[in-house]
Amino acid sequence: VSLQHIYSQIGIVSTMESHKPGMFGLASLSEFADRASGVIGNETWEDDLDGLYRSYLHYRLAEQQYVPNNSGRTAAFRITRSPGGGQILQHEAEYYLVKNTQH
Amino acid sequence: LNTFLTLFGHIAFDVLFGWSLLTLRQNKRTLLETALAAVLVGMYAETGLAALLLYAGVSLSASGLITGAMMIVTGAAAYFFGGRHQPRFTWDNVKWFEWVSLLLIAETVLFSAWQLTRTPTYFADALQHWSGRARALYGGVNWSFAPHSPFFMGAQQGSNNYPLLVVVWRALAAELAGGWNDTVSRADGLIFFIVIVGTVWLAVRRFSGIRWLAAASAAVVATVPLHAWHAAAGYSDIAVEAFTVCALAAILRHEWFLAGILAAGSLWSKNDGLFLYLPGLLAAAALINWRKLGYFFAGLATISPWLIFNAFYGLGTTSGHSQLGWHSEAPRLMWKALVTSSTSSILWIGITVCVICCGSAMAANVPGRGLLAAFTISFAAILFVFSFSNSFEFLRDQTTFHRTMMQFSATAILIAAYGLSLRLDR
Repeated sequence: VSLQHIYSQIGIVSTMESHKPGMFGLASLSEFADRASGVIGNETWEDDLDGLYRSYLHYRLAEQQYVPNNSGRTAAFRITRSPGGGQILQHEAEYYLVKNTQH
Repeated sequence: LNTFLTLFGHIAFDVLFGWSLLTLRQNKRTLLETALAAVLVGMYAETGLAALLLYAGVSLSASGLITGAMMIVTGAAAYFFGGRHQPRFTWDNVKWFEWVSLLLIAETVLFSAWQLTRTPTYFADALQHWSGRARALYGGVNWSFAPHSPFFMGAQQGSNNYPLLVVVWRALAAELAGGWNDTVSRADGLIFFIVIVGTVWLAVRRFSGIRWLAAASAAVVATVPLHAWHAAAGYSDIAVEAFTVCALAAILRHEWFLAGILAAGSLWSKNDGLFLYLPGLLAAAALINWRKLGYFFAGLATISPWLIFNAFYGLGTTSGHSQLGWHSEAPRLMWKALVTSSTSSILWIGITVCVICCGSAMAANVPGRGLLAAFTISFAAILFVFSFSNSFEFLRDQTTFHRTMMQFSATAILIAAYGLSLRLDR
């Protein structure tokens, strides 16, 4: 049983190393978050993502001031899949960084 | 490289502090047993002290500096004015079956190290409750100790009633490394894995004196399939497992105060420690020597600042509302999870058979009775929680249940090995 697990782990390493970074469904969000982090700087941000995508975004941007959705305040930037109005500063895969106009 | 060097220095600091306290009194521990317990004692003391300062409104960096200074002063005082009862060092030539076990352990360590260096932090609970909150604490802007703040205890990242051992340790590790990265966010898992495997190996060697049984037990622990992931996942379950099995090993060495401290560390790692493992540890300590329970409780009392803080702010210990009620699908799902699922392989079949076959021998032996009670109570607590509470949903989706069984695996393997040692001794 142990040898079977070792064999499967070797397979995982081999597959991941040959396909990296495309193996992660979060790769595009990761690159987006890194670039968005530079744009947001010391300003504030908010988002409307959900599930694992929200968790991943909040982890990546945990050191930058977040504005909770129900706080009654508007952040300087919004991260969304549906940009609507506002100035789009960055777009990668399905993610948009939008400058909130009413801020 | 800088990250690994600072992490090594951080752990070495914790070990030195733990060592200075563990050698204050006469003891029968070996050098390796002392080192493994010292890792956990050091991490527990460091994060506990820093959390006290954080509750009082001191910044993370100041808390880290003050805690470090207090640990240096205490450690130096313990060394110069204490008993200086250094543990004994023994060395035996490594036998071939021990090499096999070491190779299996090394493979898991290598696989975990590969994950730490080549993959990002991506498991959901690590992103939220553990590394997510740790990074928020490190960053300072999305964390607050003010109860009315939306950021209270990292509430925007994850559950704010989860205890802080790995959260504070990772935040302080990032301070030392000069920044956050995905290695800092998960590396403690590998340390806990090594502590778990080493503790089981040495404990079985101590109580049985059978080298192949000790090596085999360590190999079984190392090859529990989920360990290879949890050593680098960034979750707290492996921390609960390390503190719990180390506490049980301390009980078997009759180190009651240390066992209490390590049980407290289990509670400080995740709330599971309080409900699932503390009752079993208490039963073991009581059945082995109830007269020493006071020492156990004295060590356990070191967790009281967190319990008081938690109670004062009404944080609670469960996520969401908790309703009790029987879930009729539970037995079928548990059978699937424990018997037919590949997640634990044949582990639980083997352990159950072992405990049943060795049950009578264990019941006739004082430590055996304690261990049998610990096994029964913890296993029953797990089955109860996942059959009668809202946690049933985590059995239904086959997620947290497997993690909980992993938390229990090292303790269960240690207990099964004790039973086997009694049978082999006849």
